[in-house]
This record gives sequence, structure tokens and C-alpha cells, in this order.
Amino acid sequence: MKNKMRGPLTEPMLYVLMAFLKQDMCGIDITEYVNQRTGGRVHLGPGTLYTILAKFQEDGLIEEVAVDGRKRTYHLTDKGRETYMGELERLQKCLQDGENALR
Amino acid sequence: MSKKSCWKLIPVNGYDISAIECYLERMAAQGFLFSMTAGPLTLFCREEPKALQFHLEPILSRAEEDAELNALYEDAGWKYLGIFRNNYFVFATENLEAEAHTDPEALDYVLKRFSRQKLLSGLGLLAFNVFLIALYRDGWPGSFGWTELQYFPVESISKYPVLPLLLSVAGLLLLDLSYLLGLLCLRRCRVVKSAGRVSRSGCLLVVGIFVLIPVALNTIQLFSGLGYRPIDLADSNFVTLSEIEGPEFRLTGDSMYAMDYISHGGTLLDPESWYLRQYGAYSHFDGGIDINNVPHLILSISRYPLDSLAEKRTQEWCAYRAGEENYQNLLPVDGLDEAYLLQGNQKCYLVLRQGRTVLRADYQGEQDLSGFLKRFAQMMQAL
Repeated sequence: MKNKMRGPLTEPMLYVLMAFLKQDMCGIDITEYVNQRTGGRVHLGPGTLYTILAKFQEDGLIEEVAVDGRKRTYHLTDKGRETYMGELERLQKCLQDGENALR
Repeated sequence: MSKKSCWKLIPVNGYDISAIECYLERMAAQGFLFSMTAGPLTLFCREEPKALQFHLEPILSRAEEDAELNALYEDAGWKYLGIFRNNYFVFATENLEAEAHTDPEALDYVLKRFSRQKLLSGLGLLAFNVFLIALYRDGWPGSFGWTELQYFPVESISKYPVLPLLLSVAGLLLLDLSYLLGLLCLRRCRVVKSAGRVSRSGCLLVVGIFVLIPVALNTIQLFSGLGYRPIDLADSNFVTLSEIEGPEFRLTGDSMYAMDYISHGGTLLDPESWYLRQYGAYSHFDGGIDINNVPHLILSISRYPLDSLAEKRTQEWCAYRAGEENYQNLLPVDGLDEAYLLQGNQKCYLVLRQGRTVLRADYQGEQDLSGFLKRFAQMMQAL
């Protein structure tokens, strides 16, 4: 299947993927996680989070594993992990390039 | 005591998200809180006037409450209010600084998918255009002749679906224009989120729907068979050939060989009409008989919504056969407003008007129809 996640992820997208690295999560937990991880620097609006989750699901980066009332829990897929690692590598190279340019 | 809720027509285009949000905010500030929509109407509940921020989240799947979405919004301080025209979930918050979307790329993704969906729904609108125009295509003056429409306008709108076609074209044009402007609004919304602007192009949709309502009712009447209401020839109280010529010209009820036939119909946009046809002693087995020489009576009756239309139709019917000046004016006759007779050799045409009802009788026979005027007046009165 064609991978729709071409190009760099946006900051909110990267943090949402990051939230799933250690454990499965539901939407509200992700908001708290991103808030704590970034110290409030990155704010996830509810519309944005809902859209990102829907898009990630559609692209096969996460999958729904449980529904409990109003909460849906998602799990990071291998493809999602691969995308996260690829993005991390890209950002590290960007950082390296930036630091090299300062020397 | 003021009402607890009220329905309003929103003058904003249904695809102009920012403009709808802005409109709902203004309404909330006046004490009208969004509740739900039904077609072009929107229900507002009476509440304390409040400064609220509204957000419309485009619906990308089924138009039903999404528990997860509502939980996310409520956790962020928004309140779910309902669904707007099956297109958006409506949320509101008292926090005027709150942001529902914090990632422009994610927002663009939503709007792009929503636009694509709406583009596809345009195919449905196109099919609706084709259906209505095809259904009433006989009303196009080009198909029956512009001259006929020019000289016999009332007869033309009686015989052909001119009115339904005109209303369909007008209503569809407004709907299509509203839809295209809506797509432009969506495209603009993706490029730049405008604030404080209330466009009025939603009026096109509202007016278009109102123009199409009579067409819709007319179409329902046609398809449900309500446009045709059969009546029994024997109990119809119609003047028949039997009454004029004598009992030997009896009603046979045989629409095939004796050509006895009666019909009655009419819809909202098609004047109510009656038609009776009775031929005496005509049979397909009588090969040498010319149908025009057989005694017969044909009655065509129409009832119009306005006296003036009926008067015009009377003039048209007289002009159609020989010109009004050749008709003999039979007035005064009790119960009739107009009565004209054109007498030929064993053939005559009678045109009568009683208020909004007009009758034309084509008669082949030896009797004098002017002797039956009171009977015709009584028949028209009973319709």
C-alpha cells in the first residue's frame, strides 16, 4: 500500500507518535503526555489530536486496540515505529547540519 | 413570555465554515444558542446572552455523535452542541482564546478531505439537475413551439409542464450557484482562515429550496398517482351524447371501440382538468366510416387559480378555432360568465366560462347545443 506519510512530520504529529512508544494510549492521555513532555510548549488542540489520530490510523501507523466508553485506545504499529525512527533520524541530521554550520 | 426556542434561516453559505462560526457567535451574543438543523432551518435555544467561541469540525465519516471526539473536546473545555446540516459537529466554549486546531497541516488535511467529499456530493446534485430537467423537458417552449407559447400562453401552460420546468431551472440555478460558491469558500478557508466576516450567499440555497418546494410537491403528486383521479362516467353528471342525441347513443363504457372516455387530473402546478369523449356507433370494424362524421362529443374543462387566466383561456379557445369575432355571443345565460358558439355544418364548438372554470365542447351532430347551456352551467357548477 502506498505510504501517505511522505515528508517530515509536523511537531504535534511527532509528539503524538512519541506518546505511543512505551505504551498504548487513548486520546486524553496523549494530550497530557505531550503537555508534560514539552512543558506546555506544544499544545494539542482537540481537533488537531482527533485529526492526527484518524490520519495515523488511516495510514496504518497506529491501530485501535480497545474501546472503553468514550475512550479508544491505540497501539503503535511497526510501520508507525519505523516512521518515528525515520523522522528522528531526519531531525538529528538537521540538528547536525545546523551545528556544523555554526562552526 | 418569550419562546424557549426558535427556528431561523441562516443567511450564510453552508460550506463557509468561518462565516457560520461567526454567525453562531453573534446569535449566542444575542441569547440564541445553536441546537440543531433541519434542511435550511436552524433551531436556536433561548439562553442568557453569552460571548462564546464556536468551532465547526467537518464530519469526515458518518454524521452521528462521535464519543471520542466529544470527550477530547470536553476535556479541552469545549461543549458539544449538535450537528450542523450533516456536515459539521458544532462545539462552543466560553474561553475565547481556546484553539481547536493547533496544527495547520492537520487542519489542511481535514479541509482537503472534506472538500473532496463535497465535490463528490456535487455528482448527486448534478444527477438531481438531470432528473428534474428531464422530467419536465416537455415544458421547454422549443419542443412545442415558441409561437404557441406567444399566442396561446395559458393553453401552453395547461398542456405542457412550462411552469414546473421554469421553477426547476430557477431553483436548480440557485442551488448550483450556492454549491459552487460553497466550494470556493472551502478552498478559501484552506488558504486563509477569515474572521468576523458573514457572507450572505446562503440566501441562494434558501431561496432555491423555496422555489423548488412546489416542484417537489408537484413531482410527488405525479409519481404517487395523485395527479390523476378517475371518476365514473355514468355517475359523473357530465352532459353526454346520450343526453343530446337521444338514448340510442348510450354510454357503453367501452373506451376502445365506442371511444367512451373520461379523465380527471391536475397537480399543484398543472391546472385541474376534466376530459370527456364519447363517439356514437363508431367501431373499428366499420371500415368505411369516417371518424369525423360519426356523432361525437368531446368536452375539455380546465379550472385555473385565477379568473384572469380563465378569461384568457376562453379568448384563446375562441381564437384557436375561428377568431372570437366569428363566435356568437350567447349571453346572458344564468350561471355562466361567458358563452360563445361557433356553428358549422353539423359541427359546433362551444366555449363557456364560469368563474375560474372554462369548458370547450366539440360536437358533431344535428342538435343545437345552445339549448343545453343551462345544463352545461349546472354541470360546471357541480365540478
